[in-house]
Amino acid sequence: MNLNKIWVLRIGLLFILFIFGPPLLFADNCSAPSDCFPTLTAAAVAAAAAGAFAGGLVVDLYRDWRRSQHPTEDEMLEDSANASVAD
Amino acid sequence: MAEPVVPPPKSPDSTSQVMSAPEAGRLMHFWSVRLPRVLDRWTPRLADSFADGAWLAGWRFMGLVPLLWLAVGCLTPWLWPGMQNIYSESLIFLALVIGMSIVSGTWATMLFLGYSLGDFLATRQYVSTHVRSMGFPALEIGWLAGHFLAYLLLALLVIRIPQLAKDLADGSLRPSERASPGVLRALRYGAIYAGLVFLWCQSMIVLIRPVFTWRNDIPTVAAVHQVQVEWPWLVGIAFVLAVARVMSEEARIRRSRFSPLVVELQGQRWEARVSRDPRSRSTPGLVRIVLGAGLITLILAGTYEQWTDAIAVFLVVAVLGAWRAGRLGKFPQRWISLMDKIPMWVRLMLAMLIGFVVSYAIQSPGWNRDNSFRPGMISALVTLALVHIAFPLTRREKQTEAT
Repeated sequence: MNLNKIWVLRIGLLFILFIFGPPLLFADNCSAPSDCFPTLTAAAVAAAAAGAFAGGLVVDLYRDWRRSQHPTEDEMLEDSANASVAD
Repeated sequence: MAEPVVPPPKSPDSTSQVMSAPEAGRLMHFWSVRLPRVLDRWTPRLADSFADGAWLAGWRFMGLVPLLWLAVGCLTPWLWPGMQNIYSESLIFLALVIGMSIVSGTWATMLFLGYSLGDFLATRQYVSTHVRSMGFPALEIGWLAGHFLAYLLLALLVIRIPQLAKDLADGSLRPSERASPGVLRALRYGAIYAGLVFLWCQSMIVLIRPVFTWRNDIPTVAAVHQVQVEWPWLVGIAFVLAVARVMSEEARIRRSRFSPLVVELQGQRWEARVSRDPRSRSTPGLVRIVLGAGLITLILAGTYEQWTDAIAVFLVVAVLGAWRAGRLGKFPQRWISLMDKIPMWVRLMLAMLIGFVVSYAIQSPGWNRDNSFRPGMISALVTLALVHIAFPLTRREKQTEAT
């Protein structure tokens, strides 16, 4: 395996966190969710926000990887347009 | 250090006013062009973040300011009043981080790096003197890993949110509209930025929990209070500063005597970006899906009770990623066309709203009875799936995937 590959490094870094990460110590110390959230609405907003944030991040990540690997002509033009706005 | 090539001035009037890059400070050239060029190979987004401060070039000592923020960040864990465990305990520090990330990516990144380094050293020092545990995984590792997750969440606020806000704001514009009046663009950027900060604050209530739970502790009230109760301050600051940033940058580029220098630095950065070596980033599609799923599994760790939760989240996110990539079926073409017409920020907001309604329904039956976070985890996963549905693989992405 070619260790110079950037993705090998990335996946390695991520899994170091998993290996040494302490998921075995998962501990729910809220005696009940209502201890952590004042209302059900607050709990629902927090959960939805966490999902939306994570979803937005991963979708953006996939887009970003594709774009960086295969910059299409459209995207080059898009960048040029941004640069010309800056001008 | 190689001197940047300064283009000849376009008009004789500007000759006496234009300061060349070396005169204005080699350090600004280093932060905005040279360092990002080095980082491009490994972390393009971090590189972009460093280059973000180019618009401030020209002012005296501006090249030294990032070093100041690095020092501030490094000392913060020891000296910042009210910060006992983690950055989210201080409203003023959060406001500072948000402000820095809007004003200059270079400043914010250095503040973030300084804080991470300082906090790591402070935590390590505390753990080595106060924490003793037997067995595996050791409690010491729990302490450090929890803090690493917190740095990851802070990096999202510092590096990812400014770029995501720009993508979402620009993504809703046609090329012709990008030259629209600055006020409108500024307001749109401000609103989207504020919305993302709101999302970050709300999600932090849950996501910051591993800092404490991974060391068998209870999250402190202060660590959650600032993002749960005081978030309007942070959102308001984000809105005002984001609007001010767009207006100021535009004014600086149009009217300031340093405009040629700023344009030159941004131009050099842009040239470096478009010539990024594609081979260096050739990550196989399957690895991308696994990496994305792994990252999200880690980020959502605050909602888990057992190992099985983490495995379930990993599998769900991986399946969603594979589905979106077209490896497990395809979205209907009509749906893709419809989504293509709706601005990205509207789609994200809709996914969040529907996710909220579903989340309310899921959590309602067990509210005040169960002490489980699992309904919260399921709700987050449903919203995550909704985001995937709202952001199908576009035609352009498909074309690039096929190449």
